[in-house]
Amino acid sequence: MLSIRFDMPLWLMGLYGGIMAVCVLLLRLLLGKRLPKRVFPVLWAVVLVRLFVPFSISSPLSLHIPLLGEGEVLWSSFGPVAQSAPTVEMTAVEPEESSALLLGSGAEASYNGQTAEESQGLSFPALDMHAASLALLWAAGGIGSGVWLAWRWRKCQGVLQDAAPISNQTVEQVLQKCGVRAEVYTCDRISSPMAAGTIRSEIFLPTRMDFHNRELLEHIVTHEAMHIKYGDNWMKLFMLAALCLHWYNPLIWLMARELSRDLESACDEAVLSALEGDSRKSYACSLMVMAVSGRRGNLMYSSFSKNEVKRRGKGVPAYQKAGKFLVSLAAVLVVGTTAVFATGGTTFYDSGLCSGIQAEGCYVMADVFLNREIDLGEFAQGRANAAVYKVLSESAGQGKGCSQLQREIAGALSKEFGVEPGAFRVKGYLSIPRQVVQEQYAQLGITEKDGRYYYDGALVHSITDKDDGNTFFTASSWPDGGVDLYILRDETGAIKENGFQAYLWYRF
Amino acid sequence: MGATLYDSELKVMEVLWREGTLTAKRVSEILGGEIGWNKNTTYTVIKKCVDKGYVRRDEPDFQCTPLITKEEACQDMTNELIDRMFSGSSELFFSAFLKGRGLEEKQVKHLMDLINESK
Repeated sequence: MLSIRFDMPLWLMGLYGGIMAVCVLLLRLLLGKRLPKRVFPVLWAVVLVRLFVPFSISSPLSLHIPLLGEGEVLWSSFGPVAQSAPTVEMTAVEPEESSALLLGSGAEASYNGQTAEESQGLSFPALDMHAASLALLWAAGGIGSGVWLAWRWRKCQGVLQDAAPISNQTVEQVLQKCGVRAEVYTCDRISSPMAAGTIRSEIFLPTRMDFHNRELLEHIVTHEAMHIKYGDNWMKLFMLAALCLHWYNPLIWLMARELSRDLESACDEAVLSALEGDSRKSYACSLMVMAVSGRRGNLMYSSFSKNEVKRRGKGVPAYQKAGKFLVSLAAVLVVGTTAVFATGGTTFYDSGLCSGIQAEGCYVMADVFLNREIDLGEFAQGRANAAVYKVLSESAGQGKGCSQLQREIAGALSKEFGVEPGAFRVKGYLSIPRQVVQEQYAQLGITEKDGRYYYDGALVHSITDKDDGNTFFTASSWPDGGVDLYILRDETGAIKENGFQAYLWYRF
Repeated sequence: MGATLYDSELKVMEVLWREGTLTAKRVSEILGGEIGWNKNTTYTVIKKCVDKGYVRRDEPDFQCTPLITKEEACQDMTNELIDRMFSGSSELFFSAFLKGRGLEEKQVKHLMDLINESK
C-alpha cells in the first residue's frame, strides 16, 4: 500500500539528498570501474529529483529510520501533536486513583509526562525566532549563491560573445551520425571545446585548434555531441539550481563536482564505445592534446578540463565494452537504488493510531503507532480500535503475555487494513483491574482496610509492584507504615515465583 | 604593429603565410573549407588584421598581403608578452612557462606510458 505526499520540508530533502549523494559516491567507489559509466549520471539525476521535489512515498520498502523514527516524541513537536490526547486523558483519570494504586498507568503516565515536557520544550516561542532567522539566513545564502553563479555565467557569456559560427563538413557529418542538432562556433578566447545551451544547443571550439587534424576534430565533436544527446547541460542547470537551494550543504557542492566528472566520463565512454582499437588510443591522445592547452573545469558548461584528463586518460586503455551481465546488473542497481532512495526517507506524519485499548478479562492494554505513513482510509482509528479490542477480548482469561499479544494485534491490524504487519508498532503493557490486584494481594497476605494496607498485621510503609519490562509499575508509600513490600510480576500479570518480598522493620 | 594577434587573426595570417598574397575571397574560401567560417566572418577577421597593420589590402579584388613573416610575428608576440608580463625577463617567462602547464612533462610521459602499455 503506497501513500504519497508532497510536503517534505526543504531541510529534510537536503538531508536525504546528502545521504543519497554519499551512497552514490560509495557505490562508485566500489563498482565504478566495472559498471557502465552512464549509470552514475542517472543516479545523480535521481538525487536531483529528491533535492527538488518534496515528495514523500511510504511503502512496505520504506526504512524506519530510527533517528527520525524516535517518532512520536520528536515528530509530534514539529507536526500535528499526536500525543496531546492521551495526556489529557491521564490527567483526567489520575486523581481518582491517586490515593493508592495507579494500575497499569504508571508507565504510560511517565511516558506521557515526558512527551508533554518534550513537546513543550521544543515548541517554545524562542524556537520560532530561531526558525525565522534561519529562514532569512537560508534565503540570503541562496540569493548569494545565485548571484555568484549568475556573475560567473555572465563572464562566460562575455568570453563567448565574439564566437564565429562555422559550417564544417567533418563537424556536420559527426553531428549527423550522433543524431544531434547543434550550432557550432569557433571562439578565440576559450582553450578547450565545450557544449553549451539547453533548449538550443551550441558547441564552441577553440579557434586555435588544429582543424587539419580530422581525427581530433571528430573525437572532440563526438564528445560534445554526446553531452548534447544526453542532455547533460540540463542536468548541470538543475545542479546549479540545487546548489542555490541547498547552498549550505557541503555534500551538494561535492555532488556538483562529482556530477561534472561523471558526465565527462560517461561521454568519454560513449565516444569510446563507438571507436575500435587504435582509434581508442588516439582518443586518449585527443584528450591529452586538449588538456595541454586546456583550462580548468567549468560548472557552467560541459567541457574538457585539464585536471580531469589524467584520470580520464587512464580509463581509456582500460576500457572494455560492458557485457550483458554488467549492463543488467547496472539496470538492477539503478532501479533498486531508485526504489530505496524514493521511499527510503519519508517526511513527518502523525504516528499515533490507537491508545489505551483494554478489554475486560485481559490484563494487557495496548497502544498502536504507525511505523510509516499509510493512508488507512476512512474511520481508520475506529476500525483499528475495534480490531485491537477484538484480539484483547478474545484473549481474556488465557493469560497471554504482552509480547504475544503485540504480535497478534499487529497481525490482526495487518489483516484489517491489508498492510504489512511491520507497519504497526504495538506497545502492550499490563493493566490489571484494582479488584484483581487486591485479590492477588490477599493471597500474599496483604489486606486492605480503609484505604490502608496491612501485612502480617503491620501497617504497610510502601508497595513496589512491577513487572520485568517495567511497563507496569506502582510505587506507593505511606510515611507512618513499617513494612516494605516488593512484588515482581511476569508479562502476563501473574506474580512470579519468589516474586514477593516483605521487609518488616517496625511494627506500628 | 604591436597589437596582439588573436587566434582567429592568426588563422588568417597562417593562410597568407602559407599561400602568399591572396584575394580576400580566396582566403574566405580556404578558411571556409578548413574551419567552416562563413564569408562575413572571414572578412571581419581580415579587416581586423588590416586595422592592426599586419596585412595590406590592395585593389583590385581586395588583394591581401602579409606585412610580417611568421617568425617576426612569433618574435613580436613573445617579446610583447615578456615585456608586459615578466618585466622583460626571459628567464622569468620561461620558468613561468614550465610551471604554468597543467600537465608536467613527467605526467605527460606517464600518460604516454599508460597508453603504450595497453597496446
